[in-house]
Amino acid sequence: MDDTVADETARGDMTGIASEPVLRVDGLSVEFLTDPGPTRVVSDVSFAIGEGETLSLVGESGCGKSVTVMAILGLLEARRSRIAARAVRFQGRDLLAPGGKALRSVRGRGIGMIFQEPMTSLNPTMTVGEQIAEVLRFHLKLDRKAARARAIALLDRVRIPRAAERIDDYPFAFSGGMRQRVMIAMALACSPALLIADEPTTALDVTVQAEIFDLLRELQRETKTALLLITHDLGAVAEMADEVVVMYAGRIVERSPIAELFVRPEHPYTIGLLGASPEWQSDKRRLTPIRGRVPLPGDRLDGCRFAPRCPFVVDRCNSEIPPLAEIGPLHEAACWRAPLDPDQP
Amino acid sequence: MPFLSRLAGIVATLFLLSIVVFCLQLLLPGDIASILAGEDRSPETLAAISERFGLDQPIPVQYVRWLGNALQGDLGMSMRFNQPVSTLVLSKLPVTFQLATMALIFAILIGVTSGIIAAVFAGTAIDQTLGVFSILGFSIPNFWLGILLIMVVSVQWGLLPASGYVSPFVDPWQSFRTMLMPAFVLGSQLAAVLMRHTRSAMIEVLHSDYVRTAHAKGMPRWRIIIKHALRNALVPVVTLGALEFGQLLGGSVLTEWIFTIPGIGKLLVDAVFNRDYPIVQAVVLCSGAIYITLNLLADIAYVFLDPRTRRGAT
Repeated sequence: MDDTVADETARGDMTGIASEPVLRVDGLSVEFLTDPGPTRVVSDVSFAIGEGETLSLVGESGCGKSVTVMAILGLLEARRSRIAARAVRFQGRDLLAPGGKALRSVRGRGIGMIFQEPMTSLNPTMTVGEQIAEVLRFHLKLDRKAARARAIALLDRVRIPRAAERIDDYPFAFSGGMRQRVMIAMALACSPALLIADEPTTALDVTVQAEIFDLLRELQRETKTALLLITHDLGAVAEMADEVVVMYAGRIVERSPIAELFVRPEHPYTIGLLGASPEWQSDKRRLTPIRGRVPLPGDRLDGCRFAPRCPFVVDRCNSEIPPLAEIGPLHEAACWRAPLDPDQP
Repeated sequence: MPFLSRLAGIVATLFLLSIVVFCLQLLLPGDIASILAGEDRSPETLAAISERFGLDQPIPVQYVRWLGNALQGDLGMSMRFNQPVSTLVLSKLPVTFQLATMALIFAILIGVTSGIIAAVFAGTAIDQTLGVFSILGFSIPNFWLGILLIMVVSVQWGLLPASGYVSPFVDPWQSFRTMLMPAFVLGSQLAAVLMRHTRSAMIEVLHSDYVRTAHAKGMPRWRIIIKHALRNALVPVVTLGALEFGQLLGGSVLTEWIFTIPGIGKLLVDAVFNRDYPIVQAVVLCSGAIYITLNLLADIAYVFLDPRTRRGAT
């Protein structure tokens, strides 16, 4: 990992090349150091997001989506987790570099983050204005007045009514949806190249969910920010994502351009997810749940982790882990039976 | 409305306290008139004394008269010094107040700071070392620590005066030096308590979602600890500190005794030994009133620390 100053300058020359992604994650693995021993929760996850693109990480709760982004941003507790990767690069900078200096300069400035729980993610003892201005003052070195003016503009931009009055309010005076708007304003304060949204609407009412997604889409169009969207809302994925990465039990099981995924899902788990989602079920009257449950990180499985729940299972699935293999243009699946023939389960 | 009911509660508490304080003298053994009479215990003298101090009246009448006077700031005459009790108490109060304040400042400086450090380094050797100190601070008796400090710091090293009192208005530096050891002794237990509370509150807050948000915003670690975490963690600690300040005022008896500081604690002990009941009553009543006031101040401090309490919101 010989990437410091030399790398930075190299990057300067490379920005013109369209293929250089904003964020590139290569072979990321995360282990939690638990009492019985290290438990692997994310295995060999790789993906890349280009400028202005939207990548969606999809999967059930507990499949390692949040842990993946927490690991990228160094938000996991260092003493309880171990992160390994061939590379995690943001605009060419190595985010796993020792000391965390690159990471700290990127957090909040190059990468903005929105969390799942708007009710608890804002500091209850600081006004929303202070919390937004803090980012601007620290990263952009704005003075108090300029930061405040900018914070009002940001609140206005995320459609908070009477922004100039609301700026001095504390988080408790805002509803969940409004708080999530404040979080979005905060994440976008420094015009980051990448916005990570970890299930931004899960904790909100259905009507508010749609509003937040609309807002995100609109802001992304204006700012050309790349978006890493973690969600299990396949409707939102269909509307927003360019590319989808499906995760199951800590591994990527399928990667596909958005158009392809809904038409030709190739991993049995993806098919199961679509079947369990009201928007994509062909028979509108009934949802088909995926039988069984997600294996716990500590569960021992020698082969494919989805095998115990898979309707397409064959002997090989229980002994060998299927690698992520190309099955079409930009389309990969980790299944021994891909491409699948749906008529032969 | 919450404020009014709060105020009513305070008045009721003070009223009950006044009854208890008044009854104290009835429970204590010995006939006051005959103590005051000294050698000359002729019935005429006793009758004269009883009449002069109202001791011949029925008890409820005595109470009402005593309360009426107390409300006007007249807590009676000291039987021993033949001076108004209020004057005596008011002259000693600043001494104890200075001692307790310095003890509180010590306790906060040591307790809160070490609590933050222990929380930030939770589970490490630093945390464990601080934990040992907090157990020591909590379990070493005041009088033992006081005597030890006098022996080592004053007698052997000759660094600080062993006893006495100098008013800060006369010689601030000397006053500070004289109070240093007593304040440390008096505040040591509170420091240990505050450290424990700060540590656990900080650990909880450091794992909260909004601290994670602050990290994701790229804020430097110490800024997060001080600006984001500490303020939230201090909310429960402040109440404790304010309540304990009342304890410090009341608990200064032993410390004042060891370091011969002419404060309210020493006044109280002397008064008990000499059955100078008006002084005992006045000191207890004052302590109670101060305690209640501090309780109220703690609630007000809440409002500044936690904006959620400002509008009665949750």
